[in-house]
Amino acid sequence: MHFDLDDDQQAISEAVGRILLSEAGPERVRALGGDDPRHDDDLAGLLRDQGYLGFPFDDGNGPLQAALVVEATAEAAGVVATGAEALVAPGALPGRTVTGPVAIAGAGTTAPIRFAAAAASLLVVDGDDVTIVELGPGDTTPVPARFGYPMALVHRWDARTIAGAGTAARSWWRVGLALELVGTARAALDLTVGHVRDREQFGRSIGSFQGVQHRLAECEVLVQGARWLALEAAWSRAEAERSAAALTQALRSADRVFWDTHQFSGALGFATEYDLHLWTMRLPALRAEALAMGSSAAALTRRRWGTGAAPSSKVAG
Amino acid sequence: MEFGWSEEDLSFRKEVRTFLEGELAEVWTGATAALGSPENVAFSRHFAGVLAERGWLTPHWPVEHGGSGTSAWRLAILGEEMWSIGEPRGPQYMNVNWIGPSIMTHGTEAQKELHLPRIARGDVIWCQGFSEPEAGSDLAALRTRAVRDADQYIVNGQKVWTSYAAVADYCYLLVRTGEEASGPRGITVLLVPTRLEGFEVRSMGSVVGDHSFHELFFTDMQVPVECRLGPENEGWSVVRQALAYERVGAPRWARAQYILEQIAEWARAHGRIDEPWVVEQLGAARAATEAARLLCYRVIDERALDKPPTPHANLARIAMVEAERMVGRLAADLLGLDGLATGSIAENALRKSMAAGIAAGTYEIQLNLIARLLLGLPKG
Repeated sequence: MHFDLDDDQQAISEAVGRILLSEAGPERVRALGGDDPRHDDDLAGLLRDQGYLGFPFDDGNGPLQAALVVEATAEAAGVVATGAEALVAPGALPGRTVTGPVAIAGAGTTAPIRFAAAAASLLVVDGDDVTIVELGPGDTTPVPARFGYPMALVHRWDARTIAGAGTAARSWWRVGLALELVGTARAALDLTVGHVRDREQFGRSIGSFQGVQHRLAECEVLVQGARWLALEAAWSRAEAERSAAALTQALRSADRVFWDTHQFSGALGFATEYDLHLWTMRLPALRAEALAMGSSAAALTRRRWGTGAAPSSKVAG
Repeated sequence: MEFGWSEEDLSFRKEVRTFLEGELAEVWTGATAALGSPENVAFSRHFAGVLAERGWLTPHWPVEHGGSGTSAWRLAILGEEMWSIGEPRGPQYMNVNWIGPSIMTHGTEAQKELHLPRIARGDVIWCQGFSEPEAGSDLAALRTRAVRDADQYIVNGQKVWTSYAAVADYCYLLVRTGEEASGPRGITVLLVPTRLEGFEVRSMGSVVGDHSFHELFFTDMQVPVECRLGPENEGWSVVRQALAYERVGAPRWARAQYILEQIAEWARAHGRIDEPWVVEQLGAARAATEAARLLCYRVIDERALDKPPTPHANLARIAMVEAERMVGRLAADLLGLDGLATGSIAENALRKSMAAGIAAGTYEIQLNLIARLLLGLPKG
């Protein structure tokens, strides 16, 4: 049990950090379209070429390294479909080649799907199985949406089926979402802590008021707890109960961070020229995707106590 | 970063669990398990002796003081397993975790000789004389007065909320030796035998446990100077170090998980476990206890690596309070009217979780420290 990064993890973290510093961040998101951006093909290509995206988990540290990439990309507001390509495909479909970018959805989804327009592959979680749809031009229709991710409807569902991978895919999907939520919430929280430190009203920093301090401190506790749960779940190779716990806690943390960071940023937080929305408006999108899988808390209960209502759809479980 | 246990630690946990199952079978129920009850204290005295014989009472102490210098992780495993069944060590956790180490660091040779072997054998009970009617979270405002008179201190004043005082042999007592307004600079620690004349204990009723609280009154109590721990007027730094030990010494998340298992079992037995809100709340509470577990583990990791104390201990405390409250609330809501009966799981969970945000430093003080030390926000 060690919480510091080991040398390999430190190296990958620093290398990915350097790439994200120059190839991601608020200005890059704005160049890609702002709150309704295109998928960042260049950044995804760079991460893929350097071996940080979609690498197979062939040693003990594979999933944790991939998890750090997903978290860091979210924190840098990268517009890249990291979760499905870095975690779900290598974790749930080992030995299979899944061409990136990779999107993920439940079977029969008629709602818009994150990153579908740019995706070469769509992983479809279908009960106990996973199917892979190879998407081409004309298979998707972009849907205008202002929640920080490109969304599109998918028209093509014919696919090759990989029997029995459904449970693992759902768990990896939960881990990926938890990491994206945690990275995104982290950035929003850090920005807000800096804001309340600098902003003065009544002749003093608003961050000196206990009413502000206590709520931000509670956000910090929630985000850090969710982060360690998500990393532990990745380390466990998406063991079902841990994955559900990580997503449950990440959703709770993200909800608090969403409301409190906006509250303490005042009207400034709503201005598109200010960066906060580039992270916060993604949180409801990630939450919607998570809830489309059914309740993660209920999934945890089913796993732990072997009971509870049966999943209501082919996606949940 | 690595979240697995070593084989040695896994087998140690198994050994502790097997031992506890055997040792506690049939005796660890009802009154024995009720914090501070006469049966609880009597049992914990016996149990501490059994632990001491196995080397499991003070395993983290240095060898010269009766320990085996075991790792921070082993100690955490031992603590988790004890808290997971309701902490049969009773009041011993105080002596073992921080009063003993505090004496090791600041005590005279005579004090070490007198106190450490008894604590290591498990045949002594301590209480901590900290809070006063006018000094709670603002502990440095304490007023209990100790005036030097030749080779003794004359102590007058009052303490409150003291657990185990009625059965304690010694009190780790904070007194004011400096000027009235000297704040943290005028505090001294005295290691006081509770049998001294002028040391009076009154029991107080409490909703969190019948034997939890006492008031202490000191009237011209004569305490020999040899009982002073550390230099006069420098008790604040002595006690701050002691409190750093206390903050995550109690793995309350483990008890919350234990109670949650009981709640799930009750829900199953009563045909309630498939109710959607129960399914949802059980999962949410379990996730919160797991987050608290990992935040505690990070502090233990820092301790195992001999890093200096960090605000991560405050994060862990907040997460544990949150988790205990979720479990307490769920138990009360689920059992409803059944939960009102004395001795029910819900009553136990609710009463235990009520104290979580107060004991060992209030929730709000922890948040203040996180805001200032971790988030870098200015003092208000």
